[in-house]
Amino acid sequence: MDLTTPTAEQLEDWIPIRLYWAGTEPMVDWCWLGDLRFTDPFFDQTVARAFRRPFSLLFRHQTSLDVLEQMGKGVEPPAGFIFHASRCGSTLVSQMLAAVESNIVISEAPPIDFVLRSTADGKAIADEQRVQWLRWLIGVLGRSRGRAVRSYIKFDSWHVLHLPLLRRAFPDVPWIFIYREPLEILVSHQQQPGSQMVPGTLDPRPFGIDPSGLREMPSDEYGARILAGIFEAAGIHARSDGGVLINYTQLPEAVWSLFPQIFRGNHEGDDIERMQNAARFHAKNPSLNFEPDSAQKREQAGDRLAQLARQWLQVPYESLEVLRQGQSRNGASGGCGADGLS
Amino acid sequence: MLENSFEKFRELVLRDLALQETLREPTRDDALIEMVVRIGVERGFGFTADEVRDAMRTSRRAWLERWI
Repeated sequence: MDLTTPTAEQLEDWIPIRLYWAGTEPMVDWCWLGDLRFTDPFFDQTVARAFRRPFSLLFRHQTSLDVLEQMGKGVEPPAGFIFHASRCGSTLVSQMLAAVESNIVISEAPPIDFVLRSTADGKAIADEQRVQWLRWLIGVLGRSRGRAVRSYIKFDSWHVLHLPLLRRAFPDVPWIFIYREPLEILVSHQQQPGSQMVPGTLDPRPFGIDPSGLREMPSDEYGARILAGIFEAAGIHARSDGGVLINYTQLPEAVWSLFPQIFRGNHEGDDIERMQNAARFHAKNPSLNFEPDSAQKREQAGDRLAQLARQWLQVPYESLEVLRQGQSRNGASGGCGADGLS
Repeated sequence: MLENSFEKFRELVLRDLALQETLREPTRDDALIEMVVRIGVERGFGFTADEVRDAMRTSRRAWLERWI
């Protein structure tokens, strides 16, 4: 393993693609990205594209986290944070933002998940340490590259439970939470389960699930309760911390009509046209056209899934909707009335 | 033996921006491996194409197995 310490200048076109433990020391795996932009639906897909260049695959810096600290100094904080419930249009949003050249969109980057969830050899990492690492890592991931100067970080869906820690690292970055009618989300996961819906991927305790009962719990109930934990966390933090709630029904228009006020930025030139063009395509498979599928998803839901949605998700969903309508009346989403955009 | 290893050459490359520029030109694995071996010989290294190919395979595997 190469442990030479490169300077910030030597890492100008490199990005941290992976964090890992070498014994008890956290390490950074760097990849030369060159002029590639983060235009793929997910962070790892852009890294995979970089690896099609044989140099990027063969020559990778391995450094301590100190290098992140050096590089993260003086970097502008991100323009915005995007939290979401999964399967709710958040990838559509990130793809629309990525269509604008001045934006950098980091979408579900595994190194961020590492900082939020990893333990050091089974021992907890102090929150203060995680806050520092988050500042350095997110600063470096979102730093200006060429014409791209405004960064947006789209987190994994379960990261909304870590929002207080992220706010300690970046107290002034505006954030949104995107969600959707929960039965439609459950149907999507039933067809193709997200990793968070599979028992064993996440620690179930923060979601109010007792690990000792996991063996007896049907997997669809587990998924519904994980989703309920995400909805509930979003509601709690939006109330206390001023995050803006966005329903799937407000997409894609909210991206060009509400985001400039929420994220304090203006569209320029043909930005809106570029975003509208990106919205025409299926976000996770850009070779397909995007088509709204709410009605189809509800038709596909069986009685069992509908019952789980009522039992675990109806109350937190309705609570978010009430809060969102209040934000709309109070102008929290930029004062332009989110409801009118459905 | 270690002085001749591909690992030492990799360290050299990661410190040398001009050499990196040169090695970014090949777009195919085989072309890069050939270039790496040739430049390695010019600089007194004795590693083989198979060793470079192994290093590339290891690197790819580490990425693919990052979740395991």
